[in-house]
Amino acid sequence: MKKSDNIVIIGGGPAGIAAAIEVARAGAYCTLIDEAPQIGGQVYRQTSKSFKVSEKPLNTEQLRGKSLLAEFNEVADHIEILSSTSVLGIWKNHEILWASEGTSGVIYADQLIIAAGAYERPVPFPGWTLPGVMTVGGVKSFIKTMYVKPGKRAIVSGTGPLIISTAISLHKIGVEVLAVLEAGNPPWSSPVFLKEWADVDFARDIAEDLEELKHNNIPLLFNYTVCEARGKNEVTSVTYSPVDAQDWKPIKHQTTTVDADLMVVGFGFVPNTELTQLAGCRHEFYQGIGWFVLKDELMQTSVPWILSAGDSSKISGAILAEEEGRIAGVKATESLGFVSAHEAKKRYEKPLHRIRTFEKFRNVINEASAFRKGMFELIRPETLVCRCEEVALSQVKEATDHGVGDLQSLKLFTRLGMGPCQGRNCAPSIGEYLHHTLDRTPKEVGRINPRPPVKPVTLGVLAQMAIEEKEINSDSFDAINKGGMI
Amino acid sequence: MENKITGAPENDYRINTDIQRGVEVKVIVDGHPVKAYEGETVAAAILATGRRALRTTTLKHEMRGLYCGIGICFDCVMVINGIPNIKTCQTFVKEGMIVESQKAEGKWREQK
Repeated sequence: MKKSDNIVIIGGGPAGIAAAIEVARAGAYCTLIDEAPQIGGQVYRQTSKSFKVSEKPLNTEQLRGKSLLAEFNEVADHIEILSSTSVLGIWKNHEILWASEGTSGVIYADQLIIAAGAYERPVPFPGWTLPGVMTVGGVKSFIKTMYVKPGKRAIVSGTGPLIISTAISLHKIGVEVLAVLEAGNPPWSSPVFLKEWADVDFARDIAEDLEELKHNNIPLLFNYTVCEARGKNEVTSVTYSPVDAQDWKPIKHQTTTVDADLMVVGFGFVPNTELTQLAGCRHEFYQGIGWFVLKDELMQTSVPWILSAGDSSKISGAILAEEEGRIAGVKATESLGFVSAHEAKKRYEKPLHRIRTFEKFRNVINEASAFRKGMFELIRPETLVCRCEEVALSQVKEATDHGVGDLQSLKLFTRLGMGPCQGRNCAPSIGEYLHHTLDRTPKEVGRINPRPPVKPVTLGVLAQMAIEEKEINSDSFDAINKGGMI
Repeated sequence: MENKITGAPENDYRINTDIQRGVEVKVIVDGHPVKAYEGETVAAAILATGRRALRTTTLKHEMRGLYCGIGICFDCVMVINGIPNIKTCQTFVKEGMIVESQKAEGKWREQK
C-alpha cells in the first residue's frame, strides 16, 4: 500500500463494512478499525467463533447481515482489519492513534471514514444504576452472542422499534416479558401503519415484530414509561405509569408496580460524535435528538479528508447506515482517483435512491422518538445523573443556582462527565436538562469537549507503540500530554 | 478449594437450544470456581450463574452490573488477573482466569 493512498475506516458495523466493500470494489485497499473482536457492529454482531449455532430460519435483519458479511468476505483480501482496537485520537496532520490489547500505534489516513455508530440515550430515573437495569441494545446483543438470559421477568421501556424487537428476543429465550412500554405515539400505533409505509422494508420489519408481540400476548402500551427500578443490590421491582402524550410527563398518581428482575431501557440513540468532534468537523443540534455531524449527501464533513457514515452522523438504523457506508466508500476512492467522477456517479445512484426513499420514514421515526422534557420529572434530587462520578441531580441544581449554565463548567463544578465513560452517559441528558430548565440554547449549553485519549488507556499501552510506526510525529504525544490524561 | 462449581444446572441461565458452546473452562470468581465456555465473556459467565452485581462504587458503595453491554459505560468493570477496570462485557474467559469484584477504583496486584 502506498502511503499516499491510505484509506482508513473507523467502525466495523453496517456502515464501515459497506464502505470497505466499495473501497475494495474500486480496486483500492483500506484499513478497518473496530473495537469488537469480530466485525458486524451492534446490529450484525456475530456469535463467537467458539460457538456453533444450528442453522435456523433467519429473520430479515439477520439475512441482511449475512449477505453483507458474505459480500465483505469476497473482497476481504483488500481490507486489513484491526479488531479489538480503539481509536484514541485524530489529528489534523491525518494521524490516527489506536490502542489494542496492550499495544498502540499511529496510522496515517489520506481519506478517513468515520462510522463509529451510536449508543443508547441515557435517561436517568430512580434506580437506573441498579444491576438488572440494562439497555435494549445491550440486552439484544448479549442474548444473540452469549445465549444467556439476563434475567427472568422483564419490563421493557423506552421508545422506537428496538424495544419491540428486544422484547421478542427476550420472550424467545424464555424470559417472561410483562409489558413493553412505549413513551411516544409512533406511526406503528396506527392500525393503517403498514398500508402507509408498505414500500419501506424497515416498516415491514416493524410490522412483523408487532404481529409477533401480539401473537405471544405481550402487552404493548403506548404513552407509558418506567418510573423507578427498586431493589437492594439488584432490581426486584419496577414501577411504571402513563405519560402525557405531548411532553411525556409521567402521570404519577397512576403508577403500577410489578415484581421484575430485569428492567430494559431504550430511549433511542445518540450519535457517537467524539471522533468527529476531535477531528474538528462541524456539528449541528437537532431538538430532542442531540448533536450530530454536519455532512453532505456524499458523506463529506466540513473537514476535507474526513467522511462520516451511519448512525454516528445521524440516527437512521442499519439499512441506511449500509447505504451511507457505500457512498462514503465510493467517495473516498473517487477522491484518491481510483474511480472516475463518471463511474462514481453511477455507483452513488442506487444507495442515494434508497436513502431518499427512506428519508420520510426516518424523519417520522426520529420525530416520534425524539426525547421529551417531561421525562426529567422522573429524576429525584438524589438520583444519580452521572453514573461514573456518582453526581446526583441535587448537585447539578446547586451548580446552576451558582450560575453554572453550560456543560463544560458543570463538569468542573461537579465532576459530571469526568469518569471513564467520558460523559457519554450524562452529557446528552443533562445537556437537554440545562437547555430546558435554564432556557439556554444548545450552543450556550455546549458539549463536554472530548480529548485524546477518548477511551481510557494505560500509559503502559501508549509506551508500547508498535515498532514499525517509529516515524510518528511527536505532536501526537504532545497532544496526549496536553489532553485529558491527568 | 473444593472443585465445587457455582452455577449448577438449576441455577444456570444459559440457553441450550440451537447452540453448541466452546470448550468448557473454569474461572475463579471471588475465590469460587465458576463453569464457563470458550467464547463467553466474563460478564456472560457470571450472569449465567444468576449473579448480576459485579462491582461496588467509590462514593456511595452501590452495586453495579452489566448496563450498556457494548463497552462504553464502564459499569461492568472487575479486577481480572490482578488488573482493575477491565470491562467484563468485552473480555473473553480463559482457563484459570482470576476474577474479583471491584471495590471502588480497584487495586492493582503487584505483577511478577
